Formats: sequence, structure tokens, C-alpha cells
Amino acid sequence: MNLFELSNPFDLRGPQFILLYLVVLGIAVLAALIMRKRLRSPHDEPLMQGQELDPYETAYLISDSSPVDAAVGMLVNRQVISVNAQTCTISVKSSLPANSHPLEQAVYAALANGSVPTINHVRRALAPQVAQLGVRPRARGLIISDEQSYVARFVPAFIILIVAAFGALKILIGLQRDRPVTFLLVLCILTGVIALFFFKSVPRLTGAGEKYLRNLKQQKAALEATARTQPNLLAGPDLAFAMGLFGVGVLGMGYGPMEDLKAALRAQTASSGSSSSCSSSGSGCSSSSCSSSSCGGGGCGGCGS
Amino acid sequence: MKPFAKEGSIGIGWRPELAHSITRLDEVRFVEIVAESVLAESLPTPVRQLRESGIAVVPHGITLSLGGAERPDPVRLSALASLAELLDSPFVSEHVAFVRAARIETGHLLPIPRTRESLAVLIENVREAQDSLPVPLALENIATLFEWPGAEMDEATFLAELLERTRALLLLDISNLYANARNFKWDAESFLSRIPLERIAYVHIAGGLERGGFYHDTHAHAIAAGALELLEELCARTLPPPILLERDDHFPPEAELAAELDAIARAVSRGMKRAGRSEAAAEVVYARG
Repeated sequence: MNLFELSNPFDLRGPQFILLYLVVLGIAVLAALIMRKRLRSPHDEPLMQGQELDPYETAYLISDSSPVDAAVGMLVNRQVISVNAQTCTISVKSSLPANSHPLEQAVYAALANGSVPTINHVRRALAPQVAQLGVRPRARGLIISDEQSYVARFVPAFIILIVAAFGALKILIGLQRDRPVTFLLVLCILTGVIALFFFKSVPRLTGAGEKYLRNLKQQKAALEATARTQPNLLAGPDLAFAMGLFGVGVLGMGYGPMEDLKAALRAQTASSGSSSSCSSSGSGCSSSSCSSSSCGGGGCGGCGS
Repeated sequence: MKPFAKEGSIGIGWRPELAHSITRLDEVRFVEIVAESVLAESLPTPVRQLRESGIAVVPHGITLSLGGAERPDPVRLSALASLAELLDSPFVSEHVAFVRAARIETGHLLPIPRTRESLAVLIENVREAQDSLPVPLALENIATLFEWPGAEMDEATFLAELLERTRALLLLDISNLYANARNFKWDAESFLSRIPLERIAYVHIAGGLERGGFYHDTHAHAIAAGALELLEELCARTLPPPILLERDDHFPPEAELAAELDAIARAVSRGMKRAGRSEAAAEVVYARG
């Protein structure tokens, strides 16, 4: 390749153009990633100053379904509702405690009319209440605005599509010159897929939001450790926080009715909203307590006595 | 020895099950981790956070088998040493016991025959371990459900001579002492009179229960009243050492755990009053008022 050929890249021979294309694509992907990150301002973690988010607002940082899943988990834990792992339906078992969070009250209200909806039904029914959970996080700059989301999707995707257009032009020229273009065609399709990925993956958090969430998970590492090994020791806001921040799946194995809930959540997420019977991948209720992970490695003369 | 938790300070054995409770128990001044359950390269985040907040962390080994006929495994010693350095621990602890023989793991801490020959081997192993470790080594007395025949000395004499000849520190397990004295019908207070209390680095205390005519040091139940009385007696005889609550199973809610720590603090306080020491002489931390 010489400088004269570089002045008109469309005159490059096939392998040389492919190489150039790959270099340009790499640069474009890097630029798209950087652009996407920069567009998600603010980037500095906010000072919460005693106004920390509650467990469900925190769950909202993860996804739209996380708060509802955590609220359902809390009601299952309090034995107010139960979840059928096979059908993924929720049934009311008892009345709601007086000190329940508004989201828990909304979940209960969605069930109290006698219907037996699935978890996905409840998620959809509570969309307005879930949207309200985003008010404070947005006010603190943790969640990107709709405008930011639009730009953060289109601009990077557009950058990648320019590269695909560059390749497409060469394909046209190649066809005119009766040159093989298959490999370049495959590359252009791959480039299109990459552009689609950037377009479809909607960033949720700002840089500040990502930092906040990452630091919060670090701070709550002890909570996560207990949730994974002995969740029955957690109650109230601690349990809600554990489920909201780390997902209902964080709860250790064998934790009673939660196993049915976890199985149902897995099935509902996998079926993408299907309300038909879920897979029976759940193990069903297990009444066995969490086994100690420490006894095999701990206890001075205690274990085995 | 590096400054450690103050006299009478209360600690708890760190377990992931109790991780969240431990962060909320203000009275906890130090923790102990089972050395074999963590890798220096991947320390559990909650343990690292405790250390960063100023809480002392003591690595407690359970597989060195210092009482065995074989030399301590250099790999295990190295791992223990690495942990101690990483955590800037004031010392490490292990047991006066063996856990393997002829490459067969017992899966449990077993007592050493209290003979001169066994003591000599134990002393050699302890010295070898001490040479490999960057910090002092504290040795713990274990609970046992049987005793080897042909004992040439009692447990207090065995332990006292071990400590004298190795200059190791003592991790006095009050509950193990209580269990052995109760099960084999000897006087625990006499034991306290015959061991070098000044060599106590810290104390273990744990719960247990009576079953089949034996008291079992289960680490899974409430602390026996007799063990608390023995702790009180210890604190009447010497300045209260740091005391660590062990709980390895049937983990209780935070309130119950706090109540156990309160019970320990009260036993310490009673002992100090009997000795005529004011509570200002040691940091005796009470739980929430």
C-alpha cells in the first residue's frame, strides 16, 4: 500500500481494503463506546447527604422489573403471598402488614381483586408506580434522561453505520469491477449487527449512576454475604435492600418459599412475558435451612460434636 | 507484639452468615477468620472492609496439625503467613491438636496423647511454625470427647510446659476448658491457677449443649452459664483479655447475638468487680443500653 493508493481507499486491492476496513471499524467502535460514555453525564457520584435511596428506588437503578420483584419477594417472605413455581402465578395468603412500603401495597392491591396474575402481569400493572420510583434517582442525576438516551443510542450507532456505508460503497465498486465481495459483505453485515447492538442497548444510568451503584454494592458487601448464606437473618429494609440491589436470586439456596419465587422469576424472565405455564425448573419449596458454609472449615472442636 | 484489641474487648468469629450483623454490632472490636476458608488473593470484601475500618483480624488455622507426627506443611504455613501479612494481624492462632496421620484427614481436631514424647514432637512442630510465621503464634486448647490412655500429665501441665518451652501465646478457649472439666470431672479453676495467664493473647467462648451425658462444645447454641462463670473467674484473676465469641451454626438473629455479647461483657465486668478493678481499667464494652 502506498500513499497514492491511500488517497483513494476504494482503489485498494481486496485484502488491503479489508485490513483498512477492520482498522476503521475498530476505531469507530472505540469512538462509539467513548461517545456513549461521555453522553451519559453527569459522571461524578452525587453526595446523597442523608437522602439515600430506599431499597425500591435502588432497585429501579437496576431495571424496571427489579423493584416489583423485590416487593413480591418481601411479601413472600412475610407470607402475605405465595408464588407457584410451575404456573408463575401469585396468590394472596393473608392481609398486608400496616407498615408496608407503598410499592408492596400496590403489589397487594393488584392481587386483591381475586385474580391470580403472573409476575409479569404484576410488573406491567405496576408500571406507573415503578416509574414514580425513578423521580429521586433522576433528580440526583443517576438515570439518564430520555433525550440523553436517544442521543446515546443514535450517535454511536450512526458512527458504526458510517463504516458500514464505507464498506457498502466498496462492495458496489467491487461488483462493478467484477471482483469478489463476499467477505466484505459479511463484514458489513457484522458491522450492521454492531450498530444494532449500540442502538438496541439502552443505557439506563449516567456515569454518576454507575459509580453510585458500584460503590453501593461494595458498601453492602456484608449484606450480600449474609443474603447468599443465611437470608433468614435479614428482615425488613435489609432484606428489601438485598433483593433490590443484588436481585432476588441473591438469596441462598434452600430458603423456603423463596425458592418458588426464584424459579418463577427465572421462568418469567426467560419467557419474556409469557403468561402461560412456566418451566418447572424450580425445585419447589424446600424447608431445609441454609447449610452452614463455615462448619467444614471452622469451629474449634465445635463441628462434628 | 503489635497493639491489639484492648483488654476486655469483644470480638466475634467472622462468618459470611454473620457478616451483616457484625457490621451493625458496635461492640465488636476484632474478628477472627478461619484461615483455610479464605485466600489471601481473594479476601472476602466484608473482611477487607472491616480491616480498613480499623478492626483487627486474626487468622485462625485449623489444619496445621501441630500435634501430629508429621512436620507442619510448608504450604499451609506459607498461606497462614501470607494472610497475617495481608491483614497486618498481631498474631495467628492454631490448635494443640492433630488433624491428620499417614495422609488420612480426620476432619476433626483430635487430642494429643499427653506424654513426654508427644509433647516433644509438638514443641518441635510449634517452633518450626514459629520460625515460618511473621507474627507470634497463639495456641488453643481443644475440647475432646475422649482421652488417650497412658497420660503422663494432666492438661494444665501439658499446656503450661508447651507454652514455657516454645514461648508461644495462649488462645484460651474457656468453653473447651469448661467442656473438658465437666466431661472428665476435674476442676477448671485449678486449671486456671496452673497455666500462665499472662501469656493469654485472647479468649474463645462459645455455646454448647448437654447430650448423652456429655457436654458438647457445638458453637451452635447459647453460651452455657458455667462457661460464663469460668470467664468471670478468669477476669477476677487477671486483667481481662480480648474475648471472641464463636458461632459456627444455627446462626441467631442480630438481637440474640448482641445478647450473647452482652452476657460476655457482664461476665467480664463481674470478674473485674470481684478483683476490685474499676471498669475504666479495661475497655469493657456493653451492648446497647
